[in-house]
Amino acid sequence: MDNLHNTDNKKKISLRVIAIFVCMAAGWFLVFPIGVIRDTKISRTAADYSMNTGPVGEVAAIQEFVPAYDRLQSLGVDIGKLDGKADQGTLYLEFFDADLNAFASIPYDIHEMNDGTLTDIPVNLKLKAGERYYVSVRTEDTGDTPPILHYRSKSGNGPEENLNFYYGPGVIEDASANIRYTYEIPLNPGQILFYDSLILLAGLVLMWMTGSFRNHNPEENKVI
Amino acid sequence: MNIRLSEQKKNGILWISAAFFFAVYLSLCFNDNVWTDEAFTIELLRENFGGIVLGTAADVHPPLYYLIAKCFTLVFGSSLLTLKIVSILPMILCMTWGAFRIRKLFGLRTALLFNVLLAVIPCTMEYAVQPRMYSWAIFFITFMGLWAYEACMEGRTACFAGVMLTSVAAAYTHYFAFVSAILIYGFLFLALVFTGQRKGLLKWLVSVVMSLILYLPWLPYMELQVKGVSKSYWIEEITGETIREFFPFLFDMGIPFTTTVWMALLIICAVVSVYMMTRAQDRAVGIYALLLLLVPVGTAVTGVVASSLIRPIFIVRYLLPCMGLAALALAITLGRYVPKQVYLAGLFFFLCAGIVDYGQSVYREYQWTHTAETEQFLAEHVKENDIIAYNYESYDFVYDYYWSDEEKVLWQDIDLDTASYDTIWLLDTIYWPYPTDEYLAEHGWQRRFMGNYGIEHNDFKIWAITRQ
Repeated sequence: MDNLHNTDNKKKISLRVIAIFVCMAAGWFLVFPIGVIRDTKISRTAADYSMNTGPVGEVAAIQEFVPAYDRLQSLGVDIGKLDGKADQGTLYLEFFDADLNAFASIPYDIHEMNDGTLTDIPVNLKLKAGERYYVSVRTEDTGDTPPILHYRSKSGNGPEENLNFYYGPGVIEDASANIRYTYEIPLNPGQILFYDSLILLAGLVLMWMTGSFRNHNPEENKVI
Repeated sequence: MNIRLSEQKKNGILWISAAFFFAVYLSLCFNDNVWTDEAFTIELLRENFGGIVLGTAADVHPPLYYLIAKCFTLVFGSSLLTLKIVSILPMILCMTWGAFRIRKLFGLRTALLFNVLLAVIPCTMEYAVQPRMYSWAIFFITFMGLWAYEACMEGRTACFAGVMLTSVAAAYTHYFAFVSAILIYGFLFLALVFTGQRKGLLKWLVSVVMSLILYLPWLPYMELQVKGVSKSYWIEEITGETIREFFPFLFDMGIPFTTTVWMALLIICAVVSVYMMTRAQDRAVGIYALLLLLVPVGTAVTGVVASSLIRPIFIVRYLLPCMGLAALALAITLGRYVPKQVYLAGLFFFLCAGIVDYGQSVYREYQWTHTAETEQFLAEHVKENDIIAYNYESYDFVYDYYWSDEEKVLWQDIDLDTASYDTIWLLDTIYWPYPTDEYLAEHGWQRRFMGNYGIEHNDFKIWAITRQ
């Protein structure tokens, strides 16, 4: 009877261990290669004196850019609210590909935006790194006073992504919108190891707590 | 399989871990970046010992770290590398001398885990290589915590003497290390009262009195500093948001969930401490681990309350002196009951956390700033009759580290009509007085943009300004 009981126990423990291993393997798979957890990378203009476009109401400001990575998590935009007079309505970020086909339009409440500093607007777009795109900034329902957009001189300031900057149809020479690109990028090997080792630790703790390490004597803890 | 290790091998493991982390820290030291506080240290160390004491008295911190650093510079020279190694040294003392004491008290598991945790807690790696007082404060507070435990458990006079000396050293190193030292004294008092150790209480009283006597010489300066800080100080008001940001500052590793993971570990640590308190044979260690955690909590609460009563005087990095105690609490509890498979997986996990931390530190020390490019650019371009000018006056003593007074000048002090320089290389920090093309033309000068550069936290443009 004892042997039978022991065999049953061993089977139960084996099943538990297998189940935990399957969960751990799934966790590892989600971290890599699936990549459910990602790092972020930020690219922005260098510190510089800002200049103003005209009102971005009916006339849009457009930044031509080449993303450095495939996933754009958010775009930081720097508007001026003209002493608080331009604090209502909706700002639209509209994305166009190189052939000027619109593929995304992201609205954002102007009242929620900072005045004179960057506001990160979540966009969560899948782009192709190295290809050319345009992002247009325009507003609606702003009353009499639409906000303006801040830009900086392009030379030396970057960000590297920015190419020509337009206000309406005209290019502003040596200009670069004050924009912050926040990308989601894959974890590097060290970071993958961090999450994988956490999953390993959690799995082993679970095994220990469910009694899968039999014959564990706490006195053994006096040695490693 | 049960592996018995000889004393020599156990010590060898601790030596190897300490040597490994020394190499890790050292690899972060070969740069020439200094930020404001580090520049302050370097400037102060140009004084003699008396000048250092007076210089710190006029600032907001006590003088011990600067005096220690001065001693080292007298022997090893005053290079930035020497100063960085002076900061690494106490961390390594914690990982050797401290770890051997921990092994004696709690076993090899705890000692090894302590070494790894002390090195990889995210905030410690950054500050362990800075010429500032934080790593020395960690050393003094950690040892005070260890000796307090031994004083309570063994009652030896030498341990009380250790508590007294480290408390005084901590108080002479940083005021919030002083707060932590007071808390440790308080917890030791409570422990002695509850365990009914009359002799111990007497020794405690003697230690406290001796500590106060040894601190008396600094009290007049401290009073002056408190008065000065009460009038004005640079720290911003502490809000709920500020307090929430304490945790990422201490534990964030730049990738998702890391603060959460560290917070979860601290919660598990507290829970295990309480569990240990329910077991007769582990009660004392459980209480000790919990008290170790309460020191940083108490220090933070004191800082926040004092900030609301006087004016904002506390920022989260003032919790750094307690990080050795946090590492010890985690090491005592996390390695206590688990089988060796879990323990080794835990060690592996913390080492992986160290890899991520190290990656961030390498970026911070070598790639984040433009210091090397700036130095190289100016070394290549500045000729004999040129001058480096800067318009950000507050950064004066940071620039002092890089260039002598003959090599640089404040832009606002230049009289363009009489200046006889061939080229003025202007480090133009934006939002500070800067020359427009029109202004320069009025005085017969012109400017050419040379690029965006910077030193540590200070980004600027460099303009070459020449006669028209």
